[in-house]
This record gives sequence, structure tokens and C-alpha cells, in this order.
Amino acid sequence: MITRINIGPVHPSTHGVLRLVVGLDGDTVKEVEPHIGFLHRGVEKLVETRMYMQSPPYMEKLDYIAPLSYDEAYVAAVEAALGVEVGERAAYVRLIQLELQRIASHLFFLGALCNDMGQMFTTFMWGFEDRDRVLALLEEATGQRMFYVNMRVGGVTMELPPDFSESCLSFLTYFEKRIGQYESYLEKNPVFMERMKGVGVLSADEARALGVAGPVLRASGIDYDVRAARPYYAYKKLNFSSVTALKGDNFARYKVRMLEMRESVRLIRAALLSMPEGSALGATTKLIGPAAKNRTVSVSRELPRGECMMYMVADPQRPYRLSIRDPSFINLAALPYLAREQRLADLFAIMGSLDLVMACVDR
Amino acid sequence: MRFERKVLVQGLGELKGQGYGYLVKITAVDYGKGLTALYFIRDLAGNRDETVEVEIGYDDAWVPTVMDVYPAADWYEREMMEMFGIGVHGRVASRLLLEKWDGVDPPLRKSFQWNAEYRTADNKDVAAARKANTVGAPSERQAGRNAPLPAASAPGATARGPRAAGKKGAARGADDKSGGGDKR
Amino acid sequence: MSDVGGDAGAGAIDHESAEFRNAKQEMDRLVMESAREVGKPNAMFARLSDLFKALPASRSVVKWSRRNSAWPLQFGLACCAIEMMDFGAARIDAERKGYLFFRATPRQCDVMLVAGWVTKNMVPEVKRLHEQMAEPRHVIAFGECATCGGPWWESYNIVRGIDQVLPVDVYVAGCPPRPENLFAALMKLQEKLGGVVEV
Repeated sequence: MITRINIGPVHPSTHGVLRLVVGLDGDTVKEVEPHIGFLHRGVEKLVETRMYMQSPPYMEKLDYIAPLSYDEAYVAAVEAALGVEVGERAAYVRLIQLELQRIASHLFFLGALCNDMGQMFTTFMWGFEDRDRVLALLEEATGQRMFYVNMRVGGVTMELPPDFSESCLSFLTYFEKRIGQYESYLEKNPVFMERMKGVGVLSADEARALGVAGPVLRASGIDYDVRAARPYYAYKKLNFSSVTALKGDNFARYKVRMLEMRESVRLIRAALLSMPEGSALGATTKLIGPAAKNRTVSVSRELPRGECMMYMVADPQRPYRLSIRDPSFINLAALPYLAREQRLADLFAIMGSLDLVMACVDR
Repeated sequence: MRFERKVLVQGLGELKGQGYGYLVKITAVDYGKGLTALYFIRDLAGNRDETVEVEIGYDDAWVPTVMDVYPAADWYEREMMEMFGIGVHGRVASRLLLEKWDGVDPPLRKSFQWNAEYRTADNKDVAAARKANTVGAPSERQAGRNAPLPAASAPGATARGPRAAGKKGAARGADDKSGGGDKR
Repeated sequence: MSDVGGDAGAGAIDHESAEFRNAKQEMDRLVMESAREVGKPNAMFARLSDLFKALPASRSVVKWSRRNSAWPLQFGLACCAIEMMDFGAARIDAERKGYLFFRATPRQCDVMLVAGWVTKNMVPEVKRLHEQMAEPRHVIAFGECATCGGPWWESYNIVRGIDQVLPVDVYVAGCPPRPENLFAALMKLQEKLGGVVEV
């Protein structure tokens, strides 16, 4: 006997506008039907009517927790279409900014996860405080707190300010200790551990079959990270190593992200110390630029949430078709499988550990 | 690689046997003469990518479902059905992803009439102002850029296919095919 | 009203009167009068309430309390929700101005902070939530998308500005507005709710 309840589009979970129609048998979830589309604005269609460099603001609003990653993915696709290489120093600058964005995104994940599990706002506040520090650093580097639109064809908009290195390194020193504090405080909490360990298990075969992406995939034991498999910028030079876990439960997904934060700290430090001299600036944005050389391009980037593949059919001055494969869409599609036979309260813990962004899902 | 529609499922099954066990995306492109459904698959261990293209016409727009081969195809096929109007045969009829979508016109086809109806229906005063050429959407304000460019920077016309006959299309029909200076 | 009350209090019904000829009418009249008796507040309380309303300070007390405890409805739809959360977080603390308890239930809330773009699918939900809020209620259109449709002006699925659906009190510009902007908007709303705002 299945009772259906509606977890409506507006709910305290911070992931955005998602309606879940949950079929319950007592407290056990029998089926979950996500209804999406409440944030659909037709980005793929809008982009077809814009010149290349008019679109980065659209792309950034797809994943509003890590906007720089989408900006960079799109501009990388444009660069692939135009046949432009990114400069050496610009590659390092982009890497630093991307990894800072990854730290900010994972901090948000942590706050949202603990919120969803009912711990109202403690970890959220701490996570946001640290995220504010990262955003202040990014504001120094790009001029904006959120929605930086910092990527240009071939580089970035602004050079890093002269004292960026010091402030960034001091933040990293502080933050390394902080990650340790988060981990110790959360992992000593028996409620947290009971709700995370063994909940929402996704085996490797299931993960591959369901097509999930990013930390969800890596937490199930499949070692696939775009930064390691198809390295771009300076990831190979800085010896990036991806983080994998085996169990595939909530705790594995959480732990993968914590360890990714540590890896990001290491990468940023290494990049700051070994950044080559030169100019990081890209081409100034003219709406009408050089014509695209390649007709179809496909660029994969590792966003904090997973792998994003931009497939672009390139007209000379604008995309003819841009197909965005975002990770949250397919991670959400895995929710019905993950949440089967779990308690209702664990449904939100699982959703929190999948780290979804609805604007990404609903392009 | 290109497959015919009737061998699609079998072909994908063979590719899966060769190691391409991970589905990245299913989408489509409207090339103006017909639709092309695209299946992006990947071999995670061997780090190889493959793109399978299936060409279908506008009138006969359907593909068989590949959910038996790749269970991840479920939501991608639903999205393709809704955005392109490509029917997917062999699957349980499912809800629209975009609920309460009142139009039956698939948005991502090039024939989607979105300028004409969706903008003016909401903002009648914008339409009136546009007629009077006083104020308009940002693309309107760039009307000055619609002057034809010198030949050197507009290389080659590309076949665009039927585009929406929007409110401004008639006025700039000549520029529509050139590479720059056109907004819609 | 008092004379009718006096008559019903007499107790005797005149069987010959015109009113008694229509028994149902008489019954309704009696029921109505008794209802009026029940609903009538205690006389002392009524006197106190009138005295309180007569005081010039009472209106400002009500305004002061409404101004300093405008509880928001957490209606973060999209990117502006992140800045809204930052607004509630530790750096720009919303709670110190009375903007407490970002709830997702509209029944206890005073202000609806529409943060993010509203699609056509979402319009009935937005309206329903707004109607579920008890008056006096206010709406802050947070960000460009809620103000005018924002970057998605030309999209086919967007409502161009939440003021096409709801009455808006304060508009906040920015994409996304900084949390300090939202704080300034809150203070503007407090001014609108009445009186001078103590900083």
C-alpha cells in the first residue's frame, strides 16, 4: 500500500526548485519521481541567438554555486572552435581560479548537506564563512563575488593582483587546518555517521550503468576524473591525482569531496609557486571576432559536481547548437534508484550527498 | 560513426560489448534539412569516446529506445523527446519534463516560433514600443550593428535552415545568412 | 445593535406580531442576535482596546513590532538564493535586524523574498504561496530576474518580472545583488513598514 506525498517545489532543502513525488510504505521510500523543469529557461536555445562572447553570463547561471567552472568550460569550447590556445600563465591563472571555485562549491555542499540532514545552520554558517573568504579572494582576482565572467578567449580578463599570492597562500594555510576541523567534528558525530555510512549505496556497475558523474561516480569506485584522464591546463604538470572511494554510500561521496578540497589546496599552492611569468590576458571581447575554424567541437571539463561536456556545432560567429551535458541532470536521475528502500529522512541525506543544482538540471 | 535507425540498438549493444559502457549524453541537432540524434558514449577504462549519429527526417522523427543497452538513457531520451519532438519508441510513456508546457512546438528545433509569440504575448507594450522603434529588448538596441559588414570579416555563409520568421527577420533578410551583425 | 440586544433580552415573544408569522425568519433573527451576543467582546476589554487605539503611541508600537520582525519566506529559486543565504549567514547577519527564521512555510512569514527567475511552471506555486501568507505581507523582488526577467528576458519560459504576478514592495537590482544590497533593501522595506529605521 503506497502513500504518495508531495515534496513540493518549494521546500527548505537548498538545492532549488524540485518536486519529488515520493511513494511511501510507512517510513520506507518505495519510489521517487522527481518532477523538474521549474527552472527551465531554454539556455541552449538562447545561446544560439548570441555571439560567442555574449554567452558566458548565461553559462555561469547554470551552476550558480560554481559559476566559474561553467564559464571556463564554455570558453574552452569556444577556443576549441576558434582554434586558439590558452597562454601558459593564463592556464595557471585559470587553474587557480577553478580550484578556488571548487573549494567554494564543496563548502557549500557541506553546508547544504548538513542542513538537509536537519542540523540547521551550524556547518552551514561555518561553511559560508569560509566560502566568503574564498569569494573575497576571487573578488580580488576577478572583480565580482559571484558570476565573474572572467574568461576570455585565450586567457582571463584581469591579471592577478600583486598581493593575491600572499593572501591566497595565507588562506590556504588557514583552510587546511579548517578542513581537518570539519572532518573531525563531523566524523565524531554519531548521528552524522549513522546517517551517512551505509546509506544510499551505489555499486560500481550501477554507477556506470546509470551514467552518474563526478564525485558520485568516483565514490563508487570508478576512477574517472577528467582532470586526470584528459588533463587540461597544468593539471598534469602539477601531478594531479583523483580521489576515489570504494563503498559508494553517502559517506564515500562526502569523503571524496573533502579529499578533493585538500587536493585543490595542494594544487593552488603548487600553481602559485610555480606560475610562469608572462601575460594572462585573453583577447578583448569583440562581439564579432575571428571566425570559428572547427565545425563541431566537444570539450569536457571537471566541474565540482561532475563532468560537463560541451558539444558545440560552431557557426562562424555564434554557436549553431550548444549541447550542455551537465552532471546534476544525470545525478538526479539516479536518485530514484538510490533512494529505494531507504527511510524518508534518508532521502534528503542522499539528495544532499548527490550535490545537485536545479538550474543545471533544468537548463 | 553513423548508424541507421534500424540498427541503432544493435550497434550500440556491440559498442557496449567493446567496452563503451558509459553513456555521456543523448541529444540532437537540427541541421535544417533534418534532425540528427547524437549518442555520446565513453569507455571509462580505456578513456575513449565515441559519437553515434542517427539521421532522421522532420516528418519521420523517431528513434528506438536504447534504455536496454544504457539505463542512463532514460532521462536523456525524455529531454530529447521534449526539446526536439523526436519520438522514442519502445519506452513507457512518461510525463513531460517541462510540466505544463502548453506548446507542442519543440523548442530546440530551428522552426520554433519563439520571437513572434512568446515575447509579444507577455509584453504588449514592448511590442508597441518596438513598432514605434523607441525601446526594446537589448538585441533591439543593437540595431545599429545590423549594418552589413565589410566582406573580409564575414567569411562564408552557412546553411542555417528555416529560422523563426521573427518580427525583425523580414527587415534583415539579407543579413541573415552572413556570419556577423545579426542577432536573430 | 444595543437596542436589539435589549429586545431579545426581554424573553417574551409576541405571537400576534408580524414577525412571528414567518417562523424561519424569526429563528434566523434569534440566531443572529445570539451570535452577536457571543462575539461581542467583554465590555472592559473593549474599553481597554479603544483606549489603546486612541493612544498615539499604539500605532507606532504596532509599526515598530512589524518593522523589526519581518520574517522572510525562504523562496530562493536560483542563484540569488545563494546570496540570500549569504545574507542570512554569519558575515551579513540578517537576524540582527529581525529578519529571522528563513522558513519554507508561508503561514508564519511576513515578507516573501523572491530570489531567482520565475518560470511559467512556477507561477501558480508563487501565487499560491503568496496567498497563503497572512496579511500584512510584502514582497521583495530580489535580483534582476525577479525584477524584470533579467538575463532571461528573451526566454520562452520566463515571466518577465515577478511584478507581473505579485505586488512588489521593494526591488533589488543586481545579478546577483550583494548581500549588502539586500540588507539595504530590507531597511527600505522597514521604512515602508512604517517609521524611522534605527540603524
